[in-house]
Amino acid sequence: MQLSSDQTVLWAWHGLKINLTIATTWGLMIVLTVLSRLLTHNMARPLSHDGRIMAHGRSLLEWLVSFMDEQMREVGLADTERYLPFVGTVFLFVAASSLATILPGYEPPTASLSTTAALAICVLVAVPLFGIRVRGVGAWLREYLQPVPIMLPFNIISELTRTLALAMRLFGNMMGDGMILGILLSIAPLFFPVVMKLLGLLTGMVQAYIFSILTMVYIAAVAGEREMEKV
Amino acid sequence: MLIDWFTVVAQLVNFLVLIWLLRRYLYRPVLRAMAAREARIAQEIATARQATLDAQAEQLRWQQKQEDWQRERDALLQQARVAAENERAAILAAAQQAAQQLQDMQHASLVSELQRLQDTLKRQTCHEVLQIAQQLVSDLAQQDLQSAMLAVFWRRLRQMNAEEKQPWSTEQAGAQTGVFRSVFALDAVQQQQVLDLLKSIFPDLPVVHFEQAPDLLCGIELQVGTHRLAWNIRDYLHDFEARVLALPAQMAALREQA
Repeated sequence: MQLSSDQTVLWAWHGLKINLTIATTWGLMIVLTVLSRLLTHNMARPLSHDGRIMAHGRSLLEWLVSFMDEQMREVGLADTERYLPFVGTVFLFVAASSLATILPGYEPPTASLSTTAALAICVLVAVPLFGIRVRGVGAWLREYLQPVPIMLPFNIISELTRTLALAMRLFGNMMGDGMILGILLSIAPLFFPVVMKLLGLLTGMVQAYIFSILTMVYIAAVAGEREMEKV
Repeated sequence: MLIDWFTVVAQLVNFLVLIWLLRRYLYRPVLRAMAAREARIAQEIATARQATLDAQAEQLRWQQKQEDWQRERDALLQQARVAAENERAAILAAAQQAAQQLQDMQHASLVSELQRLQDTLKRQTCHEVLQIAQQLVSDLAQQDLQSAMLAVFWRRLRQMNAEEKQPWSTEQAGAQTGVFRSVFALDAVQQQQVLDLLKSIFPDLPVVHFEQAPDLLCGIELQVGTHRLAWNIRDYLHDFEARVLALPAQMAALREQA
């Protein structure tokens, strides 16, 4: 039994390889990009000039952007356009990975610890970058000495552990969902897998929301306060 | 090993590429479209607000104009009412005046008609009285009466002074012959007596002819040219009639003076 789709190697050449995780990720990237391109093409035109599906898609996109914008404002981020590409992409990628589980034979890339670790590393790098960009290097470094300098190792450990927690939480949920589904298929292949699939969809969307919300909170912790002061 | 570091690096790159792609094809167009729509809505709201303000100003202007029109209409109505009242009063006064004039004219006409009827009545009465008197005198007239009247006539001629006699000269009368009229014809003796008497009183009297004039009723008349000397009932009666008929005019003159 394979615990991760990383182990399914589709192509390898001199240490370079394309496994199922990477291939699935590329597929999701292509789908997301093409859909975005289609839906945002001639965005300036009124909605009534497009078909119903296109109009609904564009409305959905606008609602999604507005929703994320509102969420970021609620956690204390003011300049939302700066963080929207990063946070929004985290949410869309995790959500798309979960939604695609309805396709037969699909293995979500977020069920791979490598993918969740990559996402967590992105967060781990992006949060200090946003903090430095908003507050400056000195201010960002001084945050690790707060409230007293002796707290420096604990703050560093906190940064690392929360990154690890991000990666493990998403990986555990997505992989656990797949594992449970596989076990149930072997026990009761007729009815329970459908219920568990629906539950998995819900869990995936919740995980996407949690991952993006936590990212927003981490960013707001280092940049939001100063931004609110600016506002 | 659950983590494949090659895959981690690849997913890191994939994720960064996906961020770039979605930023280019999703977030930027959507944000631009939303910003443009918000700007358009804000513009439309501002336009609508401005239109509302304009409409309110226009409404205020129209209300002001309507009030001005109302005031102007009231003033014109008041003016027209006053003019109509004046016109009515003038027409009423003119009608009253015309009615008064008509009434006066009618009254005057009635008075005139009454006066005329009274005059006619008087004249008719006088005429009838005179006719009766003439008839009476005519019935009573006899030769003896004429003789008596001749006697009176001679007495009156003799009583004339020189100034009264002057018009009866031939030059003054402007006629060559005179006429002596009587109701009854005079005989030759009477005619000679008359001629002698006239010659004695009016030496310059031209030739006198004798005529019979029954219309004198009773009496005699001497006419030379335009001068006439008479003493007869007809003249008396005519004088009486003239005086009687002159009475209404004299009374009217007295009333006007009063």
